[in-house]
Amino acid sequence: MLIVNSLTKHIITPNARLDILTDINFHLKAGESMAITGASGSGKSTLLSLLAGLDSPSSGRVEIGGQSLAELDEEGRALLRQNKIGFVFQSFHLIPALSALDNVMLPLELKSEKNAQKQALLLLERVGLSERCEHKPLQLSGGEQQRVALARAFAGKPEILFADEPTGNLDQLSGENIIELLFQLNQEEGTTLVLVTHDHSLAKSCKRHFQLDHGVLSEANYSEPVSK
Amino acid sequence: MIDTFWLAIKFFKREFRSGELSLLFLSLVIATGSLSSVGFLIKRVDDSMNSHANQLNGAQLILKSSTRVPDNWLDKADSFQLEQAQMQVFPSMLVVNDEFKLAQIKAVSDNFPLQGELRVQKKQTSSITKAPPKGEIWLDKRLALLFNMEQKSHEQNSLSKETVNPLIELGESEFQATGVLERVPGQSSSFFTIAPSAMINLSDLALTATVQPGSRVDYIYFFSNSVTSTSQSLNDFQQWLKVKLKAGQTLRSGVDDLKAVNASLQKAGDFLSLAAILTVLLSAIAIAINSHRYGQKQYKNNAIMLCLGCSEKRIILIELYKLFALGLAGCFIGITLGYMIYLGLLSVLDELINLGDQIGQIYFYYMPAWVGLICGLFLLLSLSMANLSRLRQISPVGLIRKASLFEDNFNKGSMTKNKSGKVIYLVSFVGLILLSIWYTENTKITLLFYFAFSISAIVLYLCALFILNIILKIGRKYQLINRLSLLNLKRHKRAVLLQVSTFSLIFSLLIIIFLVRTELLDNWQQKFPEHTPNHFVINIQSYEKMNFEQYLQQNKIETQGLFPMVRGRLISLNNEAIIQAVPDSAREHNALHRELNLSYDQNKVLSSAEAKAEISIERSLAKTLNIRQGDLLGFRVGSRQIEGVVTQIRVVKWDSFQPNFYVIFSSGLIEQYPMTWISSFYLAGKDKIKLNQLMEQFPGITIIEVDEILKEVQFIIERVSDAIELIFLFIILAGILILSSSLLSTMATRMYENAVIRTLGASIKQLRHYLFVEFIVVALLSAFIAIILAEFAIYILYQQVFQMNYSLHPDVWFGIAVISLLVICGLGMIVVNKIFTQSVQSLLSQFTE
Repeated sequence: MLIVNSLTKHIITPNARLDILTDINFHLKAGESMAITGASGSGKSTLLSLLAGLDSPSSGRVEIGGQSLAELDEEGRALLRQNKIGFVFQSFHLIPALSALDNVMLPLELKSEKNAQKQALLLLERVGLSERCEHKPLQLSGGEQQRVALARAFAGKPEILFADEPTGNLDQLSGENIIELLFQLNQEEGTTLVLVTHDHSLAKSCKRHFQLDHGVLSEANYSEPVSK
Repeated sequence: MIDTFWLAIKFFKREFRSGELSLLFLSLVIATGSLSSVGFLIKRVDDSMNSHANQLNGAQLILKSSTRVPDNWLDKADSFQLEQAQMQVFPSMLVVNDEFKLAQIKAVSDNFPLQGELRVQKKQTSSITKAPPKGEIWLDKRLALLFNMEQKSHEQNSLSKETVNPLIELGESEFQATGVLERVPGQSSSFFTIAPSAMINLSDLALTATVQPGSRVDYIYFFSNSVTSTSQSLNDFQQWLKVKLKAGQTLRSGVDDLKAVNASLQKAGDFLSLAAILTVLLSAIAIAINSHRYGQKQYKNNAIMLCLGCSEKRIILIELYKLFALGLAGCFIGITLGYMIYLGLLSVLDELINLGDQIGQIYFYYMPAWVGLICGLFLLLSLSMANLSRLRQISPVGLIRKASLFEDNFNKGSMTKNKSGKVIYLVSFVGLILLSIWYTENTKITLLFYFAFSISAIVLYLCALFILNIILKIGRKYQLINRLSLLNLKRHKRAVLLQVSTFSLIFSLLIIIFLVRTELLDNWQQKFPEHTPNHFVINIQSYEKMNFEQYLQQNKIETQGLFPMVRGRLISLNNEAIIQAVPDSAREHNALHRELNLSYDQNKVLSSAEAKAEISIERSLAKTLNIRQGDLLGFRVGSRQIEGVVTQIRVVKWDSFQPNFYVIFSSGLIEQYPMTWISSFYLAGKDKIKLNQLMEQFPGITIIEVDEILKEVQFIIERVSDAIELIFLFIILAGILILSSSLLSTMATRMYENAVIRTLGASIKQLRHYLFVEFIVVALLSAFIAIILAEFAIYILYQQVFQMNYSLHPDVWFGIAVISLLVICGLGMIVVNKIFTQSVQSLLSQFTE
């Protein structure tokens, strides 16, 4: 489902070249879940952006569902995100001016799906927010906002879901609820999951656990590193 | 306190370097720059107009008296170190070779004129000079022709080379005619006293013995500021003199004296005031948008400061110091910029607004600079205070949460939820009106403008809301617009409404300026078409009337017809002596102390012999003397008294150069009294010779030449029109800058939302399409509302200020819709292009804590 080969990312500063990611290699089968942990600044979020085609690598290759991201232009990557990728962010990134329902409908409407409203309502019901579908993000708690974000992420029926610290802005209880919901939806929909987190216990819930240290990725379950 | 000050300065420097203050700073620079440059320009044009009026008048202040004024009045002028000149004007006979001609003699002091050009032609050479030397007399063109002082075959009026300067007798003296008067300042003070004139030196007057006790002489005193006097001296002297004036004495300055010029210039002045108000308003909008945006950005910083234990009072103090520093820096640079723009304009358009001063001389006016500084500081501080006042209502945690969630709340209308903010905005608005009055020095036009603007703005905001809701509903129902475009519109509904309000305001202001300017110019041009009468003829006797008309017809001289004129004095109002019947303030009015020129309407005949005569009276005179319709007015004509009822109060266009009268009777009453006729006609310069034939055939008539004055009026009006076009450009520029500011103020929202939508799979093409639809709706809605607002405002301005006829302007509607589409869509897409040039990741990271 997800194949990553020799992926690197560096930036040029006035003084020197700064390597953010060095020669990342791994592949993930459909339906698998993977956690990436690492210290702040280790490059987790950058890796996630590259995997999702939100940013361009310095070199290397990312393939999603057999499609190389490098071969796609911006429009093509947008279409790929629309059809195959879902996102959950640490800061929720809901659109403040839209209601919970409108936020969830957004990916469906981008795909011009019929019954967008019906599908969005069903998803909101699944995350327990059917009563609050007309509320704007500012009227919701952090946990509720993240649930709306989860509903939005699954609305497009993605094949792969990227979650960047989904519990980072939540208290423990809300965080646990969200994780439970995330895995439940993931299982029900059969989605491949890539999860970036600080939380090692959460990482252990994933089938595979990778650690990122100064831009070098290694699989924690195995003794040998996956990046050279 | 001092610590807080230095802390604020430190923050200010840091924010300035980081660019957080740049937009607010820029808007302040532009606002004060345009305010001061327009202010400098208006002052300059004003000075230019006054200077020309002074040149026409011959001085800055003119005192006209039927008797010699007390010496201490002139001593007072000396004590103010004013320059003085004198002229005594009286009718007398000039004799050449036993040929007698009646002339208006002007005896002038050596230093006449104080201002303007006394142009004299001597031996075919024209020169600018002062009073004639002793023993010489200068004649105007017609007198020169009458005395055969030039070859009639000459097209140019000049003393011929062959002619020896003839000797002319005036009273008991003889003068040598040495020059032909081409231009005499002070001619305009009263059209109807100008007869063919001759000028001598005042010191020769006594030798002529023409002025005896009881002679009818007009004493004219000219005053101007001297090199040693201050600009205030003349004003002080004028104030001192005003209270001493008696009947038969008038004091005039600047354009006051030129009734015909004055009416036109009054409108030009009103227009410049209007342009000035618009500049203040546009500046306020620019500062409001950017100060609000800056205030929102400061939320998070202030929340953190509160959490760190800084008191709310101290935060406000820090913000005030920062704003004050920003204000001073911005205003200083803005005013300097404004002054440089103004200097640049002066160098390019020197001829346009030339005051005859030297290049390199500093043309600085303090007033516009002060106005720029105070307006800039007031607007910045008051509008920013509205944001600061919100600090009191939010807890630090709430503030941080709100700030981190979404910094740019401009579009969410959050300001409207803040009560003290509302009060501050209201105070700012009132302050804005007061500043505009101070800036324009025109209370009526300012209040009218803001009244029309406020009412229209409220009504049209609601209209915009209503129309937008309809667009959203219909668009969804009939799928006229893509659902996501609709959602985009819905998402930015408040932003769209605020943008529509701002843009429609700017467009309407531009329409108002454009239309008023165009119509004022057309109006003036219509008023002074090519063959506007430039000669008046008075003293045409009734028996000469028919022959006179025939003469004009035969010589193909265009005329406006002949009007009867009877001299009469207003003596009573509703059977009460007029002096007692009028308000105290009107008792010294000239109309009560001299004979008026009465006329009658040749087409309006009384219904019966017994009926009272009907009177039509000029509006300003009626207003001053408190005369209303139905009042009974009594006049003394010769030795008899006549009466009439006021049935009409009439607006007289004094700037039309047509014969006009304060009082017109219905026919059937005053025809029986001795009357003369008045007419006006156009004569080109090359046909001046015809005047002499006219004088020969009708020796009793008096011809008044106003062609020089008319030329001067046209010159001034062209000059003002050019200045108006310049100011129009300034306003367009300010409008475009506000459009950009307004769009930039929503950039953070747009960047954030579009980044999120792109992660959900929207392509750039889709996003561009949604934005484009949004801009089209904003553009069309803005144009629609601007047209309604402008037409309404123009209707009020035409009715109340300019006294012009109103009609709708459909030709402008299409134009403004196209301009709106081009400007908003074009500028909008350029400004928001930044959204598409950054990667989604970098955009999102800007909004991620």
